[in-house]
Amino acid sequence: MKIVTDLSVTSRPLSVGAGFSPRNLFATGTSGFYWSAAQLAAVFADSAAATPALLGQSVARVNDQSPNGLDTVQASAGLRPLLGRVPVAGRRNMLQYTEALDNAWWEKIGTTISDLGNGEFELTANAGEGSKRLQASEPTFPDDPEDACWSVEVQYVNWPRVTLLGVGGSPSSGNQSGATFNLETGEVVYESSGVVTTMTLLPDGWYRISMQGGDNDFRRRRRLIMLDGNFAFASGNQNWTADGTEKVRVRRPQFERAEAPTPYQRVGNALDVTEDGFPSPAFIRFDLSDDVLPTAFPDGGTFDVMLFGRQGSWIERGVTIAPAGSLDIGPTTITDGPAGLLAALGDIVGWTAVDRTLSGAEVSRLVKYHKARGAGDLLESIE
Amino acid sequence: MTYSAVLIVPAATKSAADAVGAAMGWGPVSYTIPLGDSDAVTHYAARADVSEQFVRWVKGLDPLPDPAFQPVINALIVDFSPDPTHEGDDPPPVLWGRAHLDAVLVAQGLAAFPLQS
Repeated sequence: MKIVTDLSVTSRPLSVGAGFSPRNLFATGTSGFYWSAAQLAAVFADSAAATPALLGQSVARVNDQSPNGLDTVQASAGLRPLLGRVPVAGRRNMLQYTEALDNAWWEKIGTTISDLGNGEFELTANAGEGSKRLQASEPTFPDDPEDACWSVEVQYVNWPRVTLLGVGGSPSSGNQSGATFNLETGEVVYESSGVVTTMTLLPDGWYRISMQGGDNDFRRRRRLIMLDGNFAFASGNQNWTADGTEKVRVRRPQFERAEAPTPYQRVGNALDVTEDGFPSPAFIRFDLSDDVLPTAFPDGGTFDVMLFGRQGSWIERGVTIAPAGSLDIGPTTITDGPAGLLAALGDIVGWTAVDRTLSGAEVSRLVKYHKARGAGDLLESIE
Repeated sequence: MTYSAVLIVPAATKSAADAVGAAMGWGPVSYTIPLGDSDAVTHYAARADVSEQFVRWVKGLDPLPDPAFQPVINALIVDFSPDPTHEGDDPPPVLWGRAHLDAVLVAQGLAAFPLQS
């Protein structure tokens, strides 16, 4: 009989070469559970796992991706976090429903909008006198940044002029900065004081037009594109009389903090942001108030727990869960974790819990794996 | 579209409020955030994302799905962000999550319990 005394044979790290998956950690019967943003199919809107969660919806259940079947379930609807996705580099476009301009989030004032498909819309002035515009229903930057930039793509149909400006507050109070563009000639025909504009010709006669700057009051305001009647904005009068046939095409609105317009980000809702050429990993967003995702452990145990957030990753070693107890993520930390952990980590892109001590190499590999899915570096402390 | 809701009930109403939540399909427990104004829990809060229909029920714009909910609704301190029933051109900032909860607590003179020193 051979007695193996070299414990390193059994305690050495598992292979963490190319093709590593957190599932490797459970290959030898290790208890615990894991989930990462790559497994959207494991996220459900109901406790029974009958309905996959959609982006922007609350998360009732996350099925364990280890062989242990330790699923995470929140039975109370008000305590569920939200599912989202965003490019790895983050969200710039602060608008919503940018490919659904017929959504109620976009207010139509004196205009009618129709969906042409492919994210393109036709904006038509309603017959009669008044302002003719399309505007966001919410203020966008309450902190009044100086570098707010508003852009949108427009195409001439039969009406040559459009205006970008801000509304909010009483239209008669304070200055309203803006700029007017001629879609027939490709010229900027009006800029109010302090405004910087761009007008770039795109294929098929589309233009991307933008304005940046303006007075402080303006920056806080909603942004809009307006069908401009007879250079009405330049004259200080937004109202004009349309016969109901005047129209332009619009698509891809963007409002961001930038010196000049950056590549377009598609925003389905506040939790669904994508950008061509960049991956948009999924995440789970806790409200840091009462959202909790519990995972029940019938047998209990002592676990090394790793949590991976977009702003940073964390390891909590030796978390003891009593039999029939649960390991909770939320509202502000994890079970036995430091105060303020979730706020420090940001949106969560994965978690792993194993009932043994993770080696340094395993920790590094787990962090690397989740960084490829949007997570931040391993944090040493929570401030 | 959903709206961030902060719902606060007196501590004595917590069980009834949780029962209303359960009857509306919200699950067994909704009010989990203890609040206090001295050294005791006086209220419980919930922060959730709700539909415009829920806003209309709570604001009395539509009849409640069950009239038995009315005493709990009457006891609620509630705030929605954005508020779809807001009138006027200057809506308050859109808040969500902890920022929304904290803003409402400040406005109501309440604090999460136990109080932070």
